[in-house]
Amino acid sequence: MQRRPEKQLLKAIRAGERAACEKLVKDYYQRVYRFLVHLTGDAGRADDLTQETFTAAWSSIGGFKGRCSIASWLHRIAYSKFVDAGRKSRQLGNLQAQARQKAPRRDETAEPMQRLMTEERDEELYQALRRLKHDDQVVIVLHYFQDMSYREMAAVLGKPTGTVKWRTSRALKKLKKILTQENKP
Amino acid sequence: MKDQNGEPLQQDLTRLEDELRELDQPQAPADLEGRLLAAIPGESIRVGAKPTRRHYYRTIGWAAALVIAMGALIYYHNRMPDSGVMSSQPFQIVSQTDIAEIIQKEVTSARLLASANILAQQPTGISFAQDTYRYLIESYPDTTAGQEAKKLLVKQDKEIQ
Repeated sequence: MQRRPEKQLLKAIRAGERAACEKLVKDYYQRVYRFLVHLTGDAGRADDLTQETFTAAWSSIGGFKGRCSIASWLHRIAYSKFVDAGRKSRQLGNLQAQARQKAPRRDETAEPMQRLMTEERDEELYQALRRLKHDDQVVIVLHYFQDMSYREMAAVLGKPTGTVKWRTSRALKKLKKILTQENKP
Repeated sequence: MKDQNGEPLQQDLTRLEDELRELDQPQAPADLEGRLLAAIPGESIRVGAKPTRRHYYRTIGWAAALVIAMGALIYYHNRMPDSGVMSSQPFQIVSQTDIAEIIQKEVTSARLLASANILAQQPTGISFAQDTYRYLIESYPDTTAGQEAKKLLVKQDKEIQ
């Protein structure tokens, strides 16, 4: 289901308004890139796939019916681009290093020791995420990193909402088990 | 911590969910936005609702369904006897006796018509047959045999002429 501003944005894009196209890029490119970084584990590949995603979006925007949100539609294109690319280089490699380039969401004024512990925990979570199967990884990324609802995820993955919900719950339990095993002495 | 089934406890899962949501996320390279903006195709994006193959099939489907529905409507409308009158008049309640009488008339007139048809095949029986047809037309005008007799009489008159 689309909200009114999204419909207006689409209408403007289809009318050939450049400002509307720029707004679409600015509003969504970070999310698409982040999603692809998590899927590929490679910043360079994510960069290329983001560009491919937007190129595909421009060519197929005429056929977009607006049955789902723009974010879901772009994620769906990005996901298919990733699948088409053969799921190569899945290692999440230097994700933690890349994460340090970001605008931090945590309190930078925290004690150095506390910050170090937080970074260690982040690394631990990313390591555990890397050990999940692809299907489990993608639902975790969409739900917790991309803040998508189960309905939006269903639109991205082309699966029923109930299945997506169940998969997310299962993936979370698996992730917890991996973390518990890693922490065992 | 695990529950009786060896599954992680709900409170642990909730904590993990919070941690995942709080996890620092990678940011796109600074120049990516500029490259994406430069790649916007501009005027050529004005494609409108570009019709896809599915679009065509759906349109053809709807058109076919419409034609079939219209055809069926016209067909049944034409088949319905005196459809215009029937639609404007209320139904008449017919008693059982009336029904029995109608059936009796149909049976009698059909028998007479059959006899007349046999007579009409004989070289000397045509005049007798025509008399029977006339009788049928006068006495049983509303029956199927009466209407058939009318047609046969006209046909025979033409043949004689």
